[in-house]
Amino acid sequence: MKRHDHDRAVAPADVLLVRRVLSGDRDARQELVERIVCVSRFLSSMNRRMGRPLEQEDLADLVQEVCLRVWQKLSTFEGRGSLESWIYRFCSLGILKHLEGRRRESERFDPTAAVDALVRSAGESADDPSGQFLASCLQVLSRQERRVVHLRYVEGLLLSEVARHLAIDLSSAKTYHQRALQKLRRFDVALERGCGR
Amino acid sequence: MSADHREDSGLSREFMAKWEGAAESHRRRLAEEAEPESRALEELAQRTLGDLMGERATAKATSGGRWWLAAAAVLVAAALWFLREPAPESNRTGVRLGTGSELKLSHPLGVVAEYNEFRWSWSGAAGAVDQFELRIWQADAPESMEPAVTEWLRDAFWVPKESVQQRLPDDLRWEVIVHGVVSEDPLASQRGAATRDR
Repeated sequence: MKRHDHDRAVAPADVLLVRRVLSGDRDARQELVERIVCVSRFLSSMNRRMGRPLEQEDLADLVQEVCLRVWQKLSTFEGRGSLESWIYRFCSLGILKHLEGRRRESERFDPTAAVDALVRSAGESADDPSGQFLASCLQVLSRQERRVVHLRYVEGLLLSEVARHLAIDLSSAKTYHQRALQKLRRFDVALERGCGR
Repeated sequence: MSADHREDSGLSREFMAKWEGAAESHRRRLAEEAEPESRALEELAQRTLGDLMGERATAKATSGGRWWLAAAAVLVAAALWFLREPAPESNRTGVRLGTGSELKLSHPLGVVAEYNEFRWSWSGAAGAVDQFELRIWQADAPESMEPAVTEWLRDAFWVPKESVQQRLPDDLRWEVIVHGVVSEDPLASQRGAATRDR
């Protein structure tokens, strides 16, 4: 799928909403204002799951930064997922960047521990089959592969961003990524046989 | 994993769909886990976006708190208004600022100037700008901002490109320093992008 393939937008209603917002439609803008609350919800939940590395004041600053970023980038929304899914990536990136700043301030601070908490939390809902599926997929991977795959495919980061936030070089990130995909392909085949798909 | 990732991963369509469904469900769970204290953050998010869209910029500018975002929204509008007017070629050396003014700046692409770090000095005739220094913080992809900032200063404030020095220190804050720019425009104080009396 090419990046600008509008015909395959999976959230056409959201694409339409964004177009109306950008053209100055007041009702659409009001709707967007109502939906932007997901920024604070995502950030506050991520922060809690990461062990609350951010104080409330930091969170407030981050909420504003992410809103600003969303507004700046709104014209690039293509509806390849819901608006909230698209916004989610800005939240992930925002909180990880904030933690990266902490790493610069204090060598004792380990942002990968926060990433690990995020990875664990993705598969911790025992009563949710989709959470169990994620957990079982991530179990076949090594710790670093798990971090890479989670940041890439759950948080939606680019590999260059993944490398940066795990403090590894891009080629290492690519290697972990490839190894993880190989393992997931084997897991996929095993699932297929097991389920008789 | 979205359809974007399908082609290069070699994973089956079913696996991908299941993964993406699980990731989406994870995101939804996060959004539903709002805590009581996040209500204030929700309102902040709504206010911020509202201000950015210019809906409540004026009211916000006088209410303190996160006033700089409101100022940014106002200035985006002001800069866009200003850009609609053709700049006379004969007078492209001036910065349109009023004497004794304070300035808050925002780039139409979203750069926000930090008010407290903005300072300039005056010399010579009224309205002349000897030097000012503008620090712009850009959270993401700062390397992409250089041509945009220069172009904006030139178009919105008639600052010649050669007067602009830009540095990108380690902390990702742009320092845009303009030297020796003089405005003789009698309408400067009226048409400045954002001015107010000290």
